[in-house]
Amino acid sequence: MTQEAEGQDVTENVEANNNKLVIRLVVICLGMFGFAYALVPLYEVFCEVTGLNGRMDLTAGGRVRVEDVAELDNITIDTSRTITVEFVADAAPGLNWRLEPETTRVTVHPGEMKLVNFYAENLSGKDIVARAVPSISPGHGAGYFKKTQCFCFDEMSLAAGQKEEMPVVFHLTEDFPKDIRTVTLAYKAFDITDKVKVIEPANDVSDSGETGDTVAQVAW
Amino acid sequence: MGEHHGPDKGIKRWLYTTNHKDIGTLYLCFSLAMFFLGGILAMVIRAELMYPGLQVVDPDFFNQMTTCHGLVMVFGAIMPAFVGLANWMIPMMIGAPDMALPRMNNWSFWLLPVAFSILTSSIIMSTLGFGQAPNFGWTFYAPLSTTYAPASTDFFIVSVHLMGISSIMGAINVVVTIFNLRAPGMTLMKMPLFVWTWLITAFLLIAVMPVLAGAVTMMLTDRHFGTSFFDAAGGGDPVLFQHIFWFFGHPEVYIMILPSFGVVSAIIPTFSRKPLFGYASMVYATASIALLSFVVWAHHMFTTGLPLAGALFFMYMTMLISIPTGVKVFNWVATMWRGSMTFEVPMKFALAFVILFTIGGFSGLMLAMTPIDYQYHETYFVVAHFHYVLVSGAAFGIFAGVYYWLPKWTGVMYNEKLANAHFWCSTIFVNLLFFPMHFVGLAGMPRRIPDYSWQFADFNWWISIGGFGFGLSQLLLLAVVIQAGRGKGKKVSDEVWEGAEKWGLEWTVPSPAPYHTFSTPPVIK
Repeated sequence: MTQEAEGQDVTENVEANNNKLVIRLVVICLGMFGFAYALVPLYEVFCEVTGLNGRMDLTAGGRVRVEDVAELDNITIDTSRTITVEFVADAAPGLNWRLEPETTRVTVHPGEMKLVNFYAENLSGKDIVARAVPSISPGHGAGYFKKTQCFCFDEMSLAAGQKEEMPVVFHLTEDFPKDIRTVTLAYKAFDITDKVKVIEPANDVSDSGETGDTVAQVAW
Repeated sequence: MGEHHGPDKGIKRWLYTTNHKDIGTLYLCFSLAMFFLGGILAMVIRAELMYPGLQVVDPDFFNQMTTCHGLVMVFGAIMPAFVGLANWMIPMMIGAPDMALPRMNNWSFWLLPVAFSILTSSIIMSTLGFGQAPNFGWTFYAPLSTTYAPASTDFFIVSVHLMGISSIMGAINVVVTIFNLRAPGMTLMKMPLFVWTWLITAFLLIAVMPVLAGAVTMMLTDRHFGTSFFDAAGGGDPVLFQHIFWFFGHPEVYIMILPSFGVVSAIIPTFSRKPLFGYASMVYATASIALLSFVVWAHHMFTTGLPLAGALFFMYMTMLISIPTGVKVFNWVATMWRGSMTFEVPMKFALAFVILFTIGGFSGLMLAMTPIDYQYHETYFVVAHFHYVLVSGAAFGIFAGVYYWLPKWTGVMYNEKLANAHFWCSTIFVNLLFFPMHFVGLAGMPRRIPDYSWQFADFNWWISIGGFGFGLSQLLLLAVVIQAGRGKGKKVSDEVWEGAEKWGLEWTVPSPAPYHTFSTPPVIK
């Protein structure tokens, strides 16, 4: 890259030094480009640890882990505290669905299991796959909001005009932050039909019996 | 001693040049052109905001104006102007014959006209009625810049990539030049402060321009290649965009001010006839500002809902920056203390810089406080703040530098009458333009909106008058530069300013500076 500058005796020594420094600086540049991408997973980890943005465990949406299910029987209910839980759900622009909770608020004690139904209806004329992304507000309560059942764990697939009732079973852990009296669980549903790869198992002889069912596989 | 030949004739001289002075001139002329383009866009904004209601442009076009004004001024006017000053002055200040990588230097300049032709073409197409120019604000927050963005966003992305590559190459060139081409005896702690501030700026550029490139690449793949970095539907998060953007964006604001600090630190000693007070502390203060700039980015995002510990951390770190900045302001004032001061135009601009930049610094300190920021966020108070630091800060620093070195570049003194008129008009109108924005901002006028409530009408009328006045005043600068560029004016001596010879090597070479300087390294005392 370095060229002899006009009207000057560039010693080979200077040129070698220049090249060495240029290479180092270019490596820093490439490293920083990589760092921009590294911020993506770093941010996810950071959000999960702090509950930033009210994001729950990103992969499972606050789902109780399988190994913890047994402990749910031993849970004690703290009747000294009553928390109001509010529900909000709607479809993002571009998704012609109706999505709403059966009730906008319930009261629970920490440790108490509660079931709330949500309703989804595909108002459009075509089959749509959607995904609901949960969010908890205030954010620092997100880590204490646990769900054993939720439509947000998987993608929702509704045929044109189809209606569906979808239960959410949740509880607040006993150590739920003392300063929160009201917590809001919000769902936003997004159209992911284009992002879902549909694999047709038809014509596959080894596949016993069931045909026509499509297996949806998320592409990202 | 190599062979001495003059430059090529005609357009080839400028297309093929590897001479640091030619490239410096190209950068400066380009940035002046972009300054006027960005200024025209600002005039459209102020024309619309002169009266409440919608009268001149429709809201969507207004958004395109605010977006492109910001992009053109930041990437087209201020940054290239500094690179132009660096090209002209750094080799002359450290006793080097040229920049270390002259051909790359040529390339990094000629990428810029390409980048800005692409961006400008989207504005022209929009004006002619074909689609929209970028309209999502210069900060291009997702999903406005991804899901909801016009088709021209891809023009914008390519253009940002090119300017990024240009800036990075320019920065690499500066670092290599400073490290490897200093004249014997020119130790790091003997370098003029302009060289120091540019060295640190170059490292900031190398560190953050690639992050910006990463951000726009993610936008591109989100828009066209099915990724979901910033799309909640695919598991991404739009707030992540803001983190990445401001990780670039905050160091970027120091990229736009540190070289001005260097210019002012060169000018104030000359016209106070005293050496710079606290040279070493100036160097350390500049370095501390640069380091701190990496850990304050989320102060742009207080209202996105940070955890308490995060908000406190970013608030305290931000406030901490006022300490090294205060050291600098103190040192400039102490340099003037009991100096035999004279007030030539560069000194006038430098003084205006110190005072007006400090006002911008104070409003920045107010914005740094998390709870108070909730009121100021996204209002004209913020607009007032960053225009005080970028117009009466960065741009005034550039004006000061241009007036200071123009006689050395051209061999003639600028037209002092016009230059003084330029100074007084700029200083009066810039305050008329930006000071009342503090008041309307505190009273709740939101930024980026083409209309406003009636109670803001009187202030906005005055702000628009200030805007038009400031814009027209810059024609005086154009006249001064053209006159001096054509060699019309009083011939100047080699040291140009009384006693300047002892403040820097650039004043030891003839005026105008010959095409090649320091082909043999000077002796540093």
